[in-house]
Amino acid sequence: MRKRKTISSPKDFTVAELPQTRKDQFFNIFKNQYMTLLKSGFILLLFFLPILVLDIFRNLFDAGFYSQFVDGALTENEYNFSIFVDFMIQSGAEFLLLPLLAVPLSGLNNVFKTMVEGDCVLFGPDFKEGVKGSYKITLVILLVFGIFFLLLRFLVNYFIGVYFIVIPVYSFFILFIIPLTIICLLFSTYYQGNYFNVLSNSTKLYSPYWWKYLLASVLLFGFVFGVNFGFDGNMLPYFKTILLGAVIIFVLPIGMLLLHSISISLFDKYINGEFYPDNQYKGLYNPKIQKKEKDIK
Amino acid sequence: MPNVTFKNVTIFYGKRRNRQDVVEDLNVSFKSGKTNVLLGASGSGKTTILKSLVEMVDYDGDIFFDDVDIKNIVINKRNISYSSQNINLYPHMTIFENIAFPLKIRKYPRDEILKRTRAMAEKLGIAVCLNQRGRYLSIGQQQRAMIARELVYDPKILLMDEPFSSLDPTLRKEMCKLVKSLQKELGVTVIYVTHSYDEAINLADELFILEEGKVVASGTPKKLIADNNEYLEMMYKSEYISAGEIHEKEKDD
Repeated sequence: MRKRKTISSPKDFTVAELPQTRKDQFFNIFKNQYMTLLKSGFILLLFFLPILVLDIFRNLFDAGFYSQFVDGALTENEYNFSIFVDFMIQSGAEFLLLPLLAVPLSGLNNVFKTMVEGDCVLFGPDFKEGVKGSYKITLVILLVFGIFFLLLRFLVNYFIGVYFIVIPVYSFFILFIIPLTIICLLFSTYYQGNYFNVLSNSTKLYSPYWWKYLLASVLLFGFVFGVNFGFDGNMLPYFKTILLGAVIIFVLPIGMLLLHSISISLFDKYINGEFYPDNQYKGLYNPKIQKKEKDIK
Repeated sequence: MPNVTFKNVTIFYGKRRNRQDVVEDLNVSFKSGKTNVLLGASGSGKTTILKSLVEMVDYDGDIFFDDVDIKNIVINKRNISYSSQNINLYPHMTIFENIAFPLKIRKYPRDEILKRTRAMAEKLGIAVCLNQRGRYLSIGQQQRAMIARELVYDPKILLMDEPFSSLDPTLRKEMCKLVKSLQKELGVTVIYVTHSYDEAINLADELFILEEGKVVASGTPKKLIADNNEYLEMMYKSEYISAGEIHEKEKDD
């Protein structure tokens, strides 16, 4: 039997090589636990599939309306109204699918929390634990987000081309609704609390660091929105779906990890230091802190 | 921990006309809770004997765990762990996932998996590497992770097939010490295959010397040395005296 060559480091792995900052940790997870990220991507895809299928159907219906319009069977007004109704039906159906989306989000948030806190991940059990522990609050947050999303879709489609309405609506959504939803989801993963606490604490955390979250949100959703709008009505609707699938598998988990890394570093700075000192810098090896602790002892 | 007894066992490769007996009429008993070492030159049948315990080769005769014929125990219920020469950690998994793997497939609860894996990693001095992949660890640390994976689910028998043959002498000595201390602590029955005299003498509670598929000498290393056992001497010579020197000595005789 041919002997497999063992790839190894020439020296022992030591404590000094453990991540010392949240940035180090982000790359450390990326380097060592990419399979967990990939698994997360596939789980997300599985639960996003109904939404992708809905999108395919809407594209097919829209194509049908378009050919009817070209053949003269529909007037321009009728055609626009059909497209609008079609779009709103899709949005409504997506809203109804939010309970399904709350499953991977609550489960994976717990998996990512475990990873960024430097604990060992047992994917299946940690996912289940996340679903068990924070499904309810995740669903409530998603439903609130869903209502805003429905409203956004209604306004931008109803006032299509009316830029002084569409641009502020989009801006409000991108600047406030998306980042706040993300922080609420992350906050509820790390801390216990009622809905009001989660919302007020998330808002407090968002106001001084909105740009960090905005950047991460744009990175996270930019791809999804970009693919969605950039390839909408493309001659190859399946191409858009495949691209969206690839983004969900490969980009979304990295975005989630990035958001968790940003959040935990802010939690360390503003919450854990004062209220949860045991959790501060959890999962990091910091020689200065270790030395301080040693000196105190 | 069970005694492992071979009664009139002939182990062979191939079927019918192509059959080739590698170990013939083996009658031997490996003591439970001890380190049993099979010492012999290449091709003497050491590895084949280990393989017979995990159904990797065919055999005639009977092998017993205490009084139970192993043919009556389904292979995954035998609670045997097998460690080979190659380091075969799963490259896409972290060290934690590697060690936890046997527990995961046995459907242990989450907390139990975490507890056992961490405890085993602490014991083997690799707790710091748990979230790393094998490729970023040294060979010695990878070997430790392998041993941790073999022992984490409390196997009754640990089969080790020249596990440290690719290591340098210093590291090999260190790993042998580790195996010895773990064996004592956990009380597991170890059947260890080696061609190294040094390893055998240092590790063995019971030593079995093999030649051409037959056990030609057995006993504690102390007893075999005291008896000036000729086979043990031969193994010593083959390791410490170069081929040229032996040749010269034979000429003189």
